[in-house]
Amino acid sequence: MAESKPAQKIWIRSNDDKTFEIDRDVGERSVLIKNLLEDVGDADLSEENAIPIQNVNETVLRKVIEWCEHHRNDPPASQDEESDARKKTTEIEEWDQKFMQVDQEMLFEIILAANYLDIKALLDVGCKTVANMIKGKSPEEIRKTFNITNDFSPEEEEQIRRENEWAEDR
Amino acid sequence: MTTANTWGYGCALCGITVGGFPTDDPGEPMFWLKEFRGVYREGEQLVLTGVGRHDAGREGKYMAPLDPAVRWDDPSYDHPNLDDQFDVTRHDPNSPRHGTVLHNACWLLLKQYYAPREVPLERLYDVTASVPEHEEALNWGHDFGGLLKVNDDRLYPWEKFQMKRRRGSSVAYVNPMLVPQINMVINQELETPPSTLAIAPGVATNVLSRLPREVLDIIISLLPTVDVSNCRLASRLFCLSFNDPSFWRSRFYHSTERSWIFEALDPRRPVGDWRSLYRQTVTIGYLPIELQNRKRLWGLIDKLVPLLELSLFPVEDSIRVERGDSMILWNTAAANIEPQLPSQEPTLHIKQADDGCREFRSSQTEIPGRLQGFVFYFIKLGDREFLTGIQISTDVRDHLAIGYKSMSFARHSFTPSESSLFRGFCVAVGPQGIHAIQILSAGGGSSEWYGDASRCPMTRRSLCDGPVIALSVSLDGCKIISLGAAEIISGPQPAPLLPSPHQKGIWYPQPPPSEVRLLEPCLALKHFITEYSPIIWTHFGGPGGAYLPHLEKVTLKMTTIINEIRVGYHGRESTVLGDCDIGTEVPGHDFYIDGPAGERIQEVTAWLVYNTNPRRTSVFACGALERLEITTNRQRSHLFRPVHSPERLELREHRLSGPPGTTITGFYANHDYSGLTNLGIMYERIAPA
Repeated sequence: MAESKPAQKIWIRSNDDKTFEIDRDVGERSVLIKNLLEDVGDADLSEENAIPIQNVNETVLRKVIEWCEHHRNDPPASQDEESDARKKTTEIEEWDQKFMQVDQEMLFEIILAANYLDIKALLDVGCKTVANMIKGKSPEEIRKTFNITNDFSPEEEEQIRRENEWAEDR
Repeated sequence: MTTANTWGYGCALCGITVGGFPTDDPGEPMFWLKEFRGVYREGEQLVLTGVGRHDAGREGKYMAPLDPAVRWDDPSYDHPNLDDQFDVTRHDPNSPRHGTVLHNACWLLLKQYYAPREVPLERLYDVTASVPEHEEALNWGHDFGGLLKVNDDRLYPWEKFQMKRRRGSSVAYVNPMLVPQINMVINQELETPPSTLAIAPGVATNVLSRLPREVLDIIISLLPTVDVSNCRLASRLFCLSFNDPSFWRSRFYHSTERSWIFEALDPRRPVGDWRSLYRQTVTIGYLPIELQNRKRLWGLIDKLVPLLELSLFPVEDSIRVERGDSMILWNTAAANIEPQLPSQEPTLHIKQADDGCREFRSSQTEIPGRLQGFVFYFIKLGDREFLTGIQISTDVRDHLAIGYKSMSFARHSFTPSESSLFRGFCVAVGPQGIHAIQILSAGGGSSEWYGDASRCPMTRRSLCDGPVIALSVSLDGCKIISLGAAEIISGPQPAPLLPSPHQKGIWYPQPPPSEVRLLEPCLALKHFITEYSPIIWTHFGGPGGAYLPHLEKVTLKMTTIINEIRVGYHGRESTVLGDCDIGTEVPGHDFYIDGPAGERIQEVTAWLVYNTNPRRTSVFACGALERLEITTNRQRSHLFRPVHSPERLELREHRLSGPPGTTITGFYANHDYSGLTNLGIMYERIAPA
């Protein structure tokens, strides 16, 4: 590999005051951070002046950074709705599958962080992971998986059943 | 699947004959079946042809313009043009141009599926060249969406499928790309759903309720409708989807359940009501017949695409064969790989043109450091899974890999123990590839099976005596067809020992118990331990000879050769060799044995017939079991022989008995669709009762 100049560093701070030094291209996987960096300007970048990530704590931010580092060289996400619509499958790359082998609490924290930080590819992986947890399960199994209480009245349940049947392949 | 009176080859996608229909009128509804494109290789060059027209002609020869933008009826093209001819069958291995054909309509559908990406032509060529042929069509192992009836009665899993065309499949003969009523389907009048009340969203407090609405919408859009229906019954959070047009639109996205109505996403045909359109398409039988065929083909493309999306792991440097005075010994299990050149000698397994697989490439990798785990990649062809690639992690290298990476199935195994304990694999191997794999360690330990090992012979040919230092694979265009494990043999080479048939045989359904000894069968042992020739067996003596005191009779079923040897007992179910349900019309012939009084089978004499007529090459070329004589320790014997013996065939006699003091407790054999083609015995030293 050719010699390259050292990566430019940036600093981001979790909502529980942990500051992370990361390469700029890693941070720019987040559209939110990328936009903030453009607003701040290079001169104001410093450890003391770390970018606050208000909705994400240290543990989750560390995990998100791990994902961004692994995917730092991925092509940028497409903003084209049509091409986005063509990727409606729930296949997940092997590394991402392993990355998402976390407890449910962490999984949802990662999804929320990806949504907040606007990291589309990470959000997709999170949503696909949840979708795969739902696929093939009965309503009762879905409730059990996500600890959902059944609070439908018999009338509501009957109505949903009728609607579902209306749209059922036969 | 030829269906017409003139010759034609089946379309690689839809299975229906390309050409051969007696019509010259391009206005005829079935004319589309004559228009095709070829994908073939000529030297290093891969060619996608223009649109050709196939009428009748020489077997396996098709002609189409070389330029993909040209049609056979373009004024500038001289149709038919012999210079543009290529082959589609594999009968002529020396053909300079060889490939496959698809109806032009099927090609356009495949293109539509991939758009805006290009169809991966190299992969399409590789995959179609890897799939076996059956009756002038590719045999994908599936039924072409209900077009075929798979008839595998009487056959063991590694034997050829007999596929019959199903009647009444007229759907398959209409052009899937020409749907005159498509605008009517898309803009049909609204059908009111049964809903009258809106379900209140409520205040849910579960983990999903933490997600913002837009994230829930993404998750819902990824799910098939049946799963969304179950979500709606599980939580109020999902109830809104039923009235959400964007949810119903998502049903028509690429890779979703309605993506085959691709016109719906065409901005020139705005859809009035997505939910209503979805509703129009829930009953496939009410749709125009062209759309029914398209849905069938879309399903076939769904099966094809994972094969086209396989990616080859980068090839590592070759393993050094010499290491001082040590050398590397490869232990390899292979599917039924067809030889590169036609063999002059018949082999034990009668190779058919449409059986087995062909090697395209190979790769190998060393295993440096301590082994930490494997990832096994699989793909589905028909209803069977095939191993495509293996990824290895060690403490010094993370992503060593060989074969193809598949996005379909990846199965992880973690091996926390010392890498020196890893001794290789047991594999479930069919004629076309490896269906399942099991990791073996020193001391006889084995992992769970990865893949589907059911209905498949197994072998431990990839097992080493010492630690495994490298792996190698041979590949066809979509899967691993042989797997080798290497070990180091130090010092001067020992004299080769006779390999253990237990380890080197390919056994069905699994290797026999290790305490059972195997006498060399009628046909040389080398066939058993080197070729793809699955061995069936029955251990009628039971564990430690426990069933012998219950022996009642031996029953044979015969046609022109012996099909089945059944051992019956007093008070327990019989055991069978060659149990392939040859039908009740074949009578059984009995020989009674007085097991309770200590009578045992002491010797077996088998006669194999051989076809030595050079003009009748395949039938019995390698031998078939024609007669059998069973002798007991009471010097009683019985000769089984068919009523109608094959004529003018050579008959060879083989006497089979164990060493003095041992008892025959089992049979093993090869089998093909005609019956038993070899026989060996198992024997043990049984303590007197």
